Amino acid sequence: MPVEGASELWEAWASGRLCLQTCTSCGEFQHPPGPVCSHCHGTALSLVEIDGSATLVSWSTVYRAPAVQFSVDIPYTIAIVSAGNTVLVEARVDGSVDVSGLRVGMPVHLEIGEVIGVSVPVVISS
Amino acid sequence: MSANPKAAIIGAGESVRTPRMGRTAIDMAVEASLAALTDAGIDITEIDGVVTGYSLAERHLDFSANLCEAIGIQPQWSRTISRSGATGASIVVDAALAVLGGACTTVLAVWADNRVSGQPEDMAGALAASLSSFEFVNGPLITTQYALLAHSYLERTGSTSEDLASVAVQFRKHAALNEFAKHRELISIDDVLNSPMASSPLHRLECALVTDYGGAVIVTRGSRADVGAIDLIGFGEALSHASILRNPDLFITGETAASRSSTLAYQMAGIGPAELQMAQIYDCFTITVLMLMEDFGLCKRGEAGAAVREGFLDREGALPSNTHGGLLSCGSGGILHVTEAVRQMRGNAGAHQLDRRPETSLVHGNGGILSAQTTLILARR
Repeated sequence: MPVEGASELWEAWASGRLCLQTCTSCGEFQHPPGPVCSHCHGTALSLVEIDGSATLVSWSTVYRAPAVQFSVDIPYTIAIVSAGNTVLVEARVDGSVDVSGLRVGMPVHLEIGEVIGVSVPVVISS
Repeated sequence: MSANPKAAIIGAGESVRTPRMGRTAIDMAVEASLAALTDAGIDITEIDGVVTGYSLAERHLDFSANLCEAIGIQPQWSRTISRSGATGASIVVDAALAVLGGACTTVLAVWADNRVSGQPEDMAGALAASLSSFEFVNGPLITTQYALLAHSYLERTGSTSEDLASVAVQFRKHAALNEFAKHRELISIDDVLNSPMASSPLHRLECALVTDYGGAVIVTRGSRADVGAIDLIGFGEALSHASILRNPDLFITGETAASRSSTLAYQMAGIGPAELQMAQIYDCFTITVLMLMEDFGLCKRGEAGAAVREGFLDREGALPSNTHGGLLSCGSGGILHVTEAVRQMRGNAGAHQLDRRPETSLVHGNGGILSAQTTLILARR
C-alpha cells in the first residue's frame, strides 16, 4: 500500500542517502513515513539525512523465510534500533556483525546496505 | 428504555474443525450459525441483524451477504468487519451496539475461515506481506514482530524463555481435556524449548495453530433475554498503531492498548480484575498472553511469567483461562474465545467444563501486532 512520503524515502535510500522523514512544523521524526505527522498532525513533512548513530532496542533471528526471495539468507537477524535516540527503525543486522555480541542498549550504526537487492538501512557495529 | 440497558448473548455455536477438501468459509459460518441458533432456542426468522468477520482464505465482496444468502435471510442490518485478530471479540461489540442503538433486535455474530481446507498458499508469508513495506523488506514473519517484542520483554523484566514456554504448557494441559482441540498430548517446558526456533526467542510451539474454524453467538437486548442468558456487562476497545515502530511504549514499558480497552471495560462493568472468575485471552503467541495479563491488571509488570508458572491461569487456579486450549493448542479463531466463555458460563462445555461454573469472565481479542484491542466482560444472571 503506497503511503505519501514512502516513494521519496525509497528513492533517497536507493541513491545511497540515509534519510528519514521529519516534520517541518514540530521537528519530530516518524517511521514508517506517512502523509501526516503523528506528533502534531502537521502535513509539511520532508526527508532529512541522519548520521546513522543508533541504539539497539531488540532483535530476532529468523529461521523460516516469509517469502522465497528471503530464503537464501536464512537464518538472518532483524533488529529494531532507535535512530538518534528518537525514532524506531527495523533493519537487517549486517552479516559482518557477531550476533552473539549484541546487547540491548548498545550503540550501533546504520548505513545504507542491500537486502534482497533493495537499498535499505542495515545495522553495523558502531 | 428497557429495565436492563445491556446486551446479552443468548446462544453460542461452533463448526466442526476437521479440514475437508472443498469446504468453504461460508460452509463453516453456516454450521456455526445454525448451532448458535439451536443453542439459543430461537427460530432463524428472528434474526434481523448479522455481523461477520472476514476470510483470509477466500474473497467475498461482503462476507455477511454470502452468509445471509446461504442461510436464507434478508436482515435489516448487516456488516462485515475486519479488525485482524480482535475481530472475534469486536463483532460482539458491534452486535451489542446494533441492538442497543435500535438498528435491529437480534443479531447473529459470526467469524469463520477455512484456513486449511481452502488455503493452498503460504498463510504465514501472505500475512507477513501485509506488514508495512519498511518492515517487510527485511524479511520478518508476523512471528518476528512478536519475537522482537518478546525479546524486549525478557530483557526488560528478567523473565525467561521458560516463563514464555509455560504459557504453551498451560494451555496444552487444558486442550488435553477438550475433544475438539487439535493438539491434546501433554507437553513440558523442555518440549516447547526443544521445538524448532521460528524467530528467536519464539519457538514453533509458542505460535498459534492454523486450522479451519467457525464460531457464532446470538446477541439481543438484555431485556429480551431469559435467565440463562450471558450479559455483556462491559466492553472496551482501543487502537494504538499499525506498525510497532510507531509505538515505542511497547519496547519501553510494554504497555499496549489493551490497558485502555480493559480499563474501559472494567469501568462499564463496575467490576475489576479481582472479581473475574475466568478469562479467555487471545493467545496468538506466548508473549501476547504475558503482556496482556499485565495490561489487564492481573499482575504487576514483569510478573506474568511467574504467575503462569505458579498455575494462575490453570483451570484449578486463581483465574482459569483459555479452558479450550486457545489458539496455541485448540485452533485458530478469536471467536472461539467468545464461544468457549459462553459455553463454560452456561455449563455446557462438555468434558472440559470447569467444576465451578464461572459467574464472570473477561474475553479479549488482540489484532495486528498488539495493536487493535477489544475487551469484553461477561456475567451470568
